[in-house]
Amino acid sequence: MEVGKGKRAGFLRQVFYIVAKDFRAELRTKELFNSMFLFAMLALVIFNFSFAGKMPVRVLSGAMWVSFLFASVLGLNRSFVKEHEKGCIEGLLIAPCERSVIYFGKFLGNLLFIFLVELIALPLISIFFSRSEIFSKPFELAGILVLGSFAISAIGTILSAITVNTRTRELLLPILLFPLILPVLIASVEVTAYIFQPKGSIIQWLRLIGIYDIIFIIVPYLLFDYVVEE
Amino acid sequence: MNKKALDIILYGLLLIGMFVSLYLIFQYAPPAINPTNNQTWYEQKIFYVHVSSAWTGFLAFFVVAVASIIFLRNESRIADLVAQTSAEIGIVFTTLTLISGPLWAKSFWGRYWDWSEPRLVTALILWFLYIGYLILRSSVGEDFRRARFAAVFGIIAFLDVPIVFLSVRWYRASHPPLLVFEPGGLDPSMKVAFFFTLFIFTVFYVVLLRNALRIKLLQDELNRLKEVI
Amino acid sequence: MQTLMIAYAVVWAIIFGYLVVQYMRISRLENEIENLKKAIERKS
Repeated sequence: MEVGKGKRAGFLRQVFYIVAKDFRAELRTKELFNSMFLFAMLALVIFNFSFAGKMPVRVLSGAMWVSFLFASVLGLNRSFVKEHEKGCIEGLLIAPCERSVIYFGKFLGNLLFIFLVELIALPLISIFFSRSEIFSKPFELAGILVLGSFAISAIGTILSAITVNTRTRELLLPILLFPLILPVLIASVEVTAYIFQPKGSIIQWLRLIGIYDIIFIIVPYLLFDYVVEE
Repeated sequence: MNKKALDIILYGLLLIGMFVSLYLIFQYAPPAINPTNNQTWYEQKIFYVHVSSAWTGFLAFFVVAVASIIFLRNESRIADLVAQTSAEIGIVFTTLTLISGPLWAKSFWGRYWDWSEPRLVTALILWFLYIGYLILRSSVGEDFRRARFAAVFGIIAFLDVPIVFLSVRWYRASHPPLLVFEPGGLDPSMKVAFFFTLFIFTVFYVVLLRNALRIKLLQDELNRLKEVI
Repeated sequence: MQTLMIAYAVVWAIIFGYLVVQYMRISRLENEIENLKKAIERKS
């Protein structure tokens, strides 16, 4: 029993080290976070003028999620590229930890970055698009943002680990990610629109995201060993 | 020479089956009546090939997922080749589905595409997923790594398909389209024509896969022999 | 109706034609391998 317990604590701590390492590296330059945030906001500005400023709730929720998804792709692309550029991936791979630790570490790091971008973008969206609901229902919104970003990060992390080894790299990730993430995108947009303007029922959408999150955290965890093995 | 005999049987079956299927679809099965305007609905005949190619495409992608799992377990080259060729064949049949589907829809809905038709949209997403799969394969240089990455993506992609289908169906429930198409019961003679066409398409798939696999293995053998000399 | 029939026949002819091409390639490869094998035997 004690051995098992010790291992578990070790696992979590190892995951934490990887997240902390990425966070420290990011704090030094802030280049990734800044680009993701600016990209998301610029996308919203573009959406605003594409729809002539008349965005009903459903469209606004959609625009929000598309901006967040595109911004996430920027972050996901960098998450393994920066390891490869500086040759750090070899160091990570020979570190005395399971390969899945790298997956969970990278996953949590990506989720954190994406979520931070969304959190900071929310008040601005509320001001720009006159949606006071953002302030009256912060927890519901944060909840759906976490659930949706969880899926984007879970599936995006393993795809990013794959595409970093390809010739096309950054070009390939969105092509592989977007069709896979479609159900989560539909569901997240529906739920977000419901939070802004309750209508109908969203239980099934929440269930769908839940199932998706569970499947696509377990399967990449099982398959990650095959992706990073040299 | 067992292979030769099997070749002759399969090719003969396909050649005869093609004509039988054409006869069954156009002569044996009665033309349907369009429920929207009560007129003879010739375009309904597209249904036989449309559904059969959709089924075959789906079967092909299922084989990709199974072959991917087998590859990750024992790293056999054959499993990887099966996954690759099956994906290629699946793309061809899904393309056929995506061409025949809108033509059929046009005769019924009066428009080519409807975003709330779960089967059609799922076919489109399948098409994107496996084009992505083939692009992924073509952009990894090294054989062994390519096979691994492709296998991982092949499994993830296939798991995604039922969720895509569900999400589009629920999307339709919350955004109802103008006309929902639900195919009614098929006439018994239509059923005969349909299941026969389905069977012939499946044989098509099997023969295509078997041939492509043999070509690749023979080429391996040829390269090996050339190196010996 | 007739256009449909022709379209069907064309699609199927293409698939079957492709199968025939595949088969021709298989036999050509098999022949090449046979010849190579014979050449190797003669050498040794």
